[in-house]
Amino acid sequence: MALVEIKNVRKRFGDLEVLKGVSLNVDAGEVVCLLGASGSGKTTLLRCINHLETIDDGEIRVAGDLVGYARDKNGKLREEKDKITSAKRARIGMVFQRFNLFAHLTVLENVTEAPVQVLRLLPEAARKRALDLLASVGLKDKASHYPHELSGGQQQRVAIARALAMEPRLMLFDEPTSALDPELVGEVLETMRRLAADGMTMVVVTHEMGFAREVADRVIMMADGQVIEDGPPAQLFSAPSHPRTKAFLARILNAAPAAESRTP
Amino acid sequence: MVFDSKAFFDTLFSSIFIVPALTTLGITLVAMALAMLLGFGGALAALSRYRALRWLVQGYLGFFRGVPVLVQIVFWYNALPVLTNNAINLPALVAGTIALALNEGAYMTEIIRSGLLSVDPGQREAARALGMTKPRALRRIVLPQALKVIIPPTGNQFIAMLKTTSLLFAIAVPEIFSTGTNIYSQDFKYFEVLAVVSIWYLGLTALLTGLQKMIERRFGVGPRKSRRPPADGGLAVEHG
Repeated sequence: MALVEIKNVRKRFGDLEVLKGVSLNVDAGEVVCLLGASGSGKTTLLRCINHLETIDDGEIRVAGDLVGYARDKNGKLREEKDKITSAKRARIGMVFQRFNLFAHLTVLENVTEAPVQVLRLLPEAARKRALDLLASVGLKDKASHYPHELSGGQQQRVAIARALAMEPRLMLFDEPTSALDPELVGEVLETMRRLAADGMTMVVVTHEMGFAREVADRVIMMADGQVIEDGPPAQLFSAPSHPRTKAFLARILNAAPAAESRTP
Repeated sequence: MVFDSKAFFDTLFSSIFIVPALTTLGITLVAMALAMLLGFGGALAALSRYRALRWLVQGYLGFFRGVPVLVQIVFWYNALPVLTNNAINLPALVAGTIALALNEGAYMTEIIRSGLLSVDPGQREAARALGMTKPRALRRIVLPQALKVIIPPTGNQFIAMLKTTSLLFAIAVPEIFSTGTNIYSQDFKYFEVLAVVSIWYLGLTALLTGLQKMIERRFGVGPRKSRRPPADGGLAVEHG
């Protein structure tokens, strides 16, 4: 059974329909990259997976459970209690474009906060877990610093450690390198590459074609709120079937990578 | 100018202002505490997704910021008993404190609302993505950061409130100013008495200012410093 099952999901913001019936599955251990021009709906789709956005139609299941919704007696979907959704979200890690580290907490506290508050880990256990994770992303010596004292790349690695501290079964990445200076992109991608090698299930919205080509098991191309292509990276990059995929790849790959592929 | 220095010093060092000063301070603290509770509720309602709640707050703000606080004070003490056939007849101290608290709650609503809005929405989103419920995300992540924005103007409001309590002389609450008016209406030493009254207010204001500084330090208003010097020799890269 797929870890993430997305069935015919529709989402509109006012008059604009940003997801027009999207379906896709992600198996456990799979790394899936979502590509597409800005406005194609890829970030919205990612945010629907952990219910940071509501959906208007269709359903999303993670490990068999609906996230954010429950069926009532008549089989209709209703938004479920915040507490229940929160408990489900706790097992879905998310990494944001702008890091979103807690500005009033040190690096260590950023990583221990949710395990202590949400998982009810003992502070000492959370601290040990946090230091191990910080060591694994190469930032143990920054534990007592505040986020604004770190570079963007360091902040994003802390954000990854913070998400991993919840022992998620799924990690969502929303353009994790788009806000970074070019020279800092590598360290974050390296961290993600190791995570993928460890068998983490990952859904990654990215403009990093190199990462998608090397690390992804599957690449999904979105346009206008729909999946237009879904396949292994080798196939999608070398022989794209959809004309819009061809156009997108031509634009991305021909432009200077640092300029075009990373929208600020 | 005739300055009766004897009358001035006698009044200054008499014990007559001690209880009124405590009354003034007490009213200030209670009214501000109530106002902050009101303001917190008001701010949450103002930011709520329910339109009815937002309208309710708008009405509250519009009314209480639009009507002079002296009018509100006299309403609670003099008009309310008449209006309710004496069913509600509050002692001056209570009526005055309620009037000040309700009025101040409107201003605190705006201060706390702006504090909550000052926190990057990404902070709350990250907290929610980590599985925190809405109340927990508010309490652990948003509010501590909002406090940095909320505390300085709240200190201002505290000091303003301390001075506004003098309006309660209109309903004969025995606070500092009304005590002064009682004295000068007997000896006509207006200037000397007002000078002493001012000194009491200045002293209490200094006290509150000191308190505010302590609280600001406690909540880290101003730029954050790491608890240990950076291991890399102090080179830290700012990223917005």
